[in-house]
Amino acid sequence: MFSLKPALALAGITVIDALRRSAVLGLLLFGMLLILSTFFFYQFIPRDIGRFASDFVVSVSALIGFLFLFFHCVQTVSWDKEKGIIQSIMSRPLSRADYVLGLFFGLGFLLITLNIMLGSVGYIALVMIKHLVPTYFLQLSMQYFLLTSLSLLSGQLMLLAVILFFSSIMRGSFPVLLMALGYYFTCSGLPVVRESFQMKEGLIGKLQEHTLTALTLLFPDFSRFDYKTFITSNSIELSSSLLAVNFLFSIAYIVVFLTLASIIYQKRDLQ
Amino acid sequence: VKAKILLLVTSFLFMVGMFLLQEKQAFLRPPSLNKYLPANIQKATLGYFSELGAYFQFIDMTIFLGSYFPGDTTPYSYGDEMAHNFDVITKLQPKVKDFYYLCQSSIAHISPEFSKIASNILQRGAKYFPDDYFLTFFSGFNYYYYCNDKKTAAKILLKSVQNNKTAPNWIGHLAGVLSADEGDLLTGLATLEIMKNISTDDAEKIRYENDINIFKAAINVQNAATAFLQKYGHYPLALDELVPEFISQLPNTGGLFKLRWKGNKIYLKRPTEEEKEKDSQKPLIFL
Repeated sequence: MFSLKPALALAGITVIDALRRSAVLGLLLFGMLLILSTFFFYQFIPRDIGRFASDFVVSVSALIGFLFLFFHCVQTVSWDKEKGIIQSIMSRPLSRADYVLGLFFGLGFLLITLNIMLGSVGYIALVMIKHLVPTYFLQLSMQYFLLTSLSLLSGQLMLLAVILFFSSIMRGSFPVLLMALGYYFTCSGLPVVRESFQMKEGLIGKLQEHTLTALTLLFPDFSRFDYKTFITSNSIELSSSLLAVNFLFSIAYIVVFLTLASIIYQKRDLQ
Repeated sequence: VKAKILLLVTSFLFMVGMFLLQEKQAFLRPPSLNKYLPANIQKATLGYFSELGAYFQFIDMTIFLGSYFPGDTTPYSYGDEMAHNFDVITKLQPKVKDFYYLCQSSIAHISPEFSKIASNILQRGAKYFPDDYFLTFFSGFNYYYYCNDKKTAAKILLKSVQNNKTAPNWIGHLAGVLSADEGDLLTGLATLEIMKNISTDDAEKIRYENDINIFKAAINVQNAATAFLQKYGHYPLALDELVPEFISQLPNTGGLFKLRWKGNKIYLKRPTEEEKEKDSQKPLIFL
């Protein structure tokens, strides 16, 4: 179906292209500056400094990841006439499935790198803040910090797979960006809608409930992958089965959307 | 080149002048606080950053509160916005105690209505902090102190003790006393019975037992008053009328409580210093 070698070669080109355009470096510096600002902002919080700092640091990683996805990845994966497709002029023949996979591997690698670097700086910042105000920062769990970062990464990889899918069905980076943003807001808004429809009784109520559940399959509730509250929490109330289900779901979701993208790419006319 | 430099210097000086005027205007304007977007809309748009949004809105509110000098304005002028905004931020990030503490200190005192809003927000927050009785206590306190609704206060205070093992028992005792003060003797008695069962301290159990006896005695007097009504078709004007036909003598609590008779109901009130001194010299009577 696909071969790993050309996909990895394309992934390498994608990484080099991002480094050449200073996309990762710029975002990394921006992210680090934001993390440094935690030292300023925590002074506005009287007591729950630990919770604020951990929420802030993780949110910075998420923000940088989303900026990377929406502004770099969308540009990279979309088929612009002006941009041309540098990957297609590679000397080696490349199947469409390899193309999709190569892009996913390359951009995924960059996302992982960004998350690891920002996560490390963020964790160091948290340790320092904990040291500065131990009374208001009682608990800092490295395991939960790692779990939070990992689940954030899984959400970002899901979004990347969806961006690849959108780029397979339309031309131009702007429509892909709009679709990706629309997708993200639908994912964020759907749980709110579900909550408001939860208490509805009767046939129509049930129908609405099932429709919204089905929609959540396509537009997942990313708050289910959000564990940042546990980083500073004393009580451990997380079930390992739920964790496993969440991660397995995200893997399946990525595979489904990448497969769909490669099928559509296969059918698409390059002109 | 000279013309360009001249244009640059002139435009820069003009820019500085405008900036200084702008600064002056900015400081003339009183600080203002707007109502934030509803929590659901913020949740839908911010997604993963909902908590971050809550923190920045909290910071905005603290800056607003800190921008006033005492006497500059009345809390009424910003109460509505504050109450709405606290409701919003505690929905966006319900697990931060600071939000509740600031809510309590900045809106509960404005008026009974605001006090009730603060209490509701605090009670919602209490669900996220099962080990912390402060939020429920503040909520009950608001009903008692600002709303003068002792009955609701008693219910909330009792809940704070029942839900939390670390809560000091005097909160439950206070709930019982408040119930009795409102004439709800049965609730007060039930509260004290619960407190006695919860307590692990022997001396405390004895104190509860004493209070329970007083409450039971007060209930007996209430029953005697009902019997009086059944026989004569009206309630007694004073409790003395019940003695000796319906009750052998009125209870004396030794200065702990004072029985008050208003219309058709017995109230157990805390006595004045004078009454306390007088009653403490008489023998204790519980019937």
